[in-house]
Amino acid sequence: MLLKLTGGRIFDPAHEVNDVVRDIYIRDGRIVEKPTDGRVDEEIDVSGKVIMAGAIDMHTHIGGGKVNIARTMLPEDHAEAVYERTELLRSGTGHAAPSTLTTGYRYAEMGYTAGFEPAVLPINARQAHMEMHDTPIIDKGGYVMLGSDDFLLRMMAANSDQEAINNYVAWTINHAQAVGLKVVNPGGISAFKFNQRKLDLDEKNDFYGVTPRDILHRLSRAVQEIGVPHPLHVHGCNLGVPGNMQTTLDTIQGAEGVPMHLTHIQFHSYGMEGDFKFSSGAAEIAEAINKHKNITVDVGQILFGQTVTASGDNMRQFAGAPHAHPNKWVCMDIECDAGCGVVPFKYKDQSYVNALQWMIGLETFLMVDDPWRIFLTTDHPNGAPFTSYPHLIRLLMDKSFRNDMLSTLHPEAQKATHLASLDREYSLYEIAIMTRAGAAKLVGLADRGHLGIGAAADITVYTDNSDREKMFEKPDYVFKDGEMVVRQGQVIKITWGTTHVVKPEYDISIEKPLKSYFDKYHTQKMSNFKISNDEIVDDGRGSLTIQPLHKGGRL
Amino acid sequence: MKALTLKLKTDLTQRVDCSPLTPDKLAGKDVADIAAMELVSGRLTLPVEELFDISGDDVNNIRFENSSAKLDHIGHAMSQGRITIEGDAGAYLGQFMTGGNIEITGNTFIYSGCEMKGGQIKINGNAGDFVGAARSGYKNGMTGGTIIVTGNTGARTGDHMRRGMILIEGDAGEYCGSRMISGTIAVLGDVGKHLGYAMKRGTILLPKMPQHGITANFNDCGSHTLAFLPLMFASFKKLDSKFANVEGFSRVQRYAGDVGGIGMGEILVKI
Repeated sequence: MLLKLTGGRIFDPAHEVNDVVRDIYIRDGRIVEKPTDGRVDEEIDVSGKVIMAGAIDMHTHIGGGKVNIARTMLPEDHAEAVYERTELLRSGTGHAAPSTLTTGYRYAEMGYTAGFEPAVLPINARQAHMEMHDTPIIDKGGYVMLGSDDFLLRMMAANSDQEAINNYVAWTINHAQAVGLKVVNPGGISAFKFNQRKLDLDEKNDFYGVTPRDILHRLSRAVQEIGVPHPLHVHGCNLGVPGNMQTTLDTIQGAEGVPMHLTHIQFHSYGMEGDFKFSSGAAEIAEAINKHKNITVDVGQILFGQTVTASGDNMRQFAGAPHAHPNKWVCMDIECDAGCGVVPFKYKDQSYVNALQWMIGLETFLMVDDPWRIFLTTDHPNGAPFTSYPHLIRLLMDKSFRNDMLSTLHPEAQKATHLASLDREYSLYEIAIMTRAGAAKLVGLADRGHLGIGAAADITVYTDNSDREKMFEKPDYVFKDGEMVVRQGQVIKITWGTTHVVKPEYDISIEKPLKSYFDKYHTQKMSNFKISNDEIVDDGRGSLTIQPLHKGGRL
Repeated sequence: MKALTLKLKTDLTQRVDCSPLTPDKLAGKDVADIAAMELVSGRLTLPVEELFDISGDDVNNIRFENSSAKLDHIGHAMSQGRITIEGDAGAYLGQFMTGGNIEITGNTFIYSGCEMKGGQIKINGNAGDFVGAARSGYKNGMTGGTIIVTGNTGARTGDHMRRGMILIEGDAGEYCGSRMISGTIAVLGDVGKHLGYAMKRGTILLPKMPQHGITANFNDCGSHTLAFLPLMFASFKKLDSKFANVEGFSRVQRYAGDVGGIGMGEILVKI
């Protein structure tokens, strides 16, 4: 079966193709060369339409314990958004923390074909994978979380050599079936349990005597040395604290040229100027990002309305709990492995702080020069649900729309920003970099995010519309692995995406201390901790795609 | 105009969601429109005429006849008009209602007057659990209006109640006034165990000491003469209820609690 998409305007930044009219041929789920005999089985006329690879959300909380806690805790989130079953689709609920099936449908309807869960706790990885397994259409993967786990901190306190840590990281990535490594408030989640309520970059964890800087240094090196393409995914110290931009600048400095991804940077770009002792640090942060080519960021834009914040960072979530709306929240330890905090939140456009957060996010988007190193996220659901991406894209692409929105916000916050003077408008090509080519490159997906020969045929077709929100919320067609799954913004076919993983090599000797550690301290045996490939493939619905390691990796 | 009368003509096997059958939602519709409206029942949708014989045409005055405990969500979010029910009603009677009147001759199931904001519900029978309560997981129960129950209520009457009044002529079940934030519950009969459990503020008024006494997490604050009580009894005079004829009193023993929380709730017992 050969499918031809005729006459579309191609935006494929991975091959520097910017708005070139070209036909695309698809066979067996892959993009192929034009057949020599010119014979096609089916042809779809897409002339004049905008064609991009399927979008990739490289940081979205769609699976794992905290999302489930958010769902359980917020019946109001279900009651406000109920989706009936249809002949094709299963029923579901939820706006900020939608049910798994609904998540897959909504992503596909917006032209997204992959989403990556950024906080898979090793001990809870099985549940995270099972939830993602139930998320239809899109591809998925997870970044496994280390940095506040007792085993690593013990190793660091004992001053183990880097190779031992590399081994532990590689072993964990393998057996949690992850595609990258995440660290959340390095050491802080652990320090919280020893009654520390803040932990700065160079502050020692009271119990282990380890600083966040050490942890970042060790883990980012480990990721680089074992050849995992996705750089260490860092949720830094002091999230949401006024004045935390200095910590962020120090973190960027402290990376010492080793690749590092700083996530939801908006929450880490706050100054302390002005009457409210809260100001934008976006300019300084953007300048540092522009200067340090080893740093990539995603924004974590906030948008106004009700959502829920779900994070492994129990230290900062505990501090944010008094602002919970509705007034209920959860902070918990997860088996000494990590933490978890879920605080529902309503961002208000007439709040000085929230309005400024909105501005800081947009300032960051507009002041970071290289779209290959900044990614479009709302840190779903922490800044806003992912369903607001089309709105966010319009804010980036349409200056007058942005300024109209800006003029309705808290007046004091408007005085504290120079957002109105930023003239930049993202082009379609830059959006394609941010949400496709760049994201695929960052996560390390060799065959996604581009439209070259041999790429997976994850393709989104839009009708060009000067109202970018309308354009991006309802693609004409979405193809997932060569099959049409969405037509006119409606899901018409259910497929099940693959799970992307990396398999860095490790030395089996690590299992000896790990086994006795599990036996002594954990609630499960080491053999049960390991998630086998079969579990992901399971009923034939799931599949594993092992992505290649970087050069320098030992595999 | 005659009241729009919906006489249940089938023996229901599944529950029926009657939320579309309110004066607000039927406004401007004629009988043919109403007959064709679809109601959700189990996993099916059924037209109104398949379930009910329809007569009359005054949509501001709706009568359910031969009603069953499987008819849920009657009076859902109504803001005006009147609904009369001959027989029993199911769960969520008058949920979210903001005005108007509901009267029922039989018993109701759980969550009667759940999160209601205004209007009046009169139940001439027994009510189930969670009268005037919040849905599970929600923070506020009823925030206005009046619920009168001539019979008994189930457990957790007024759970998370925030404003408004629940008047019970019979007995109230266990955990009456649990997690109450504000508002008034008055019970002429007896009340079950754990009265006012986790109560924050609000008033529970009793003409006699409950059989199980007052729990240890309420402090006895002594006897008081409270001037607001005669005014409140005077306001009951206009109600179609035994409460209209209760002899007013202002001398009460006051118990404050639940001291496990902020302890600003009160149980007032006539002395």
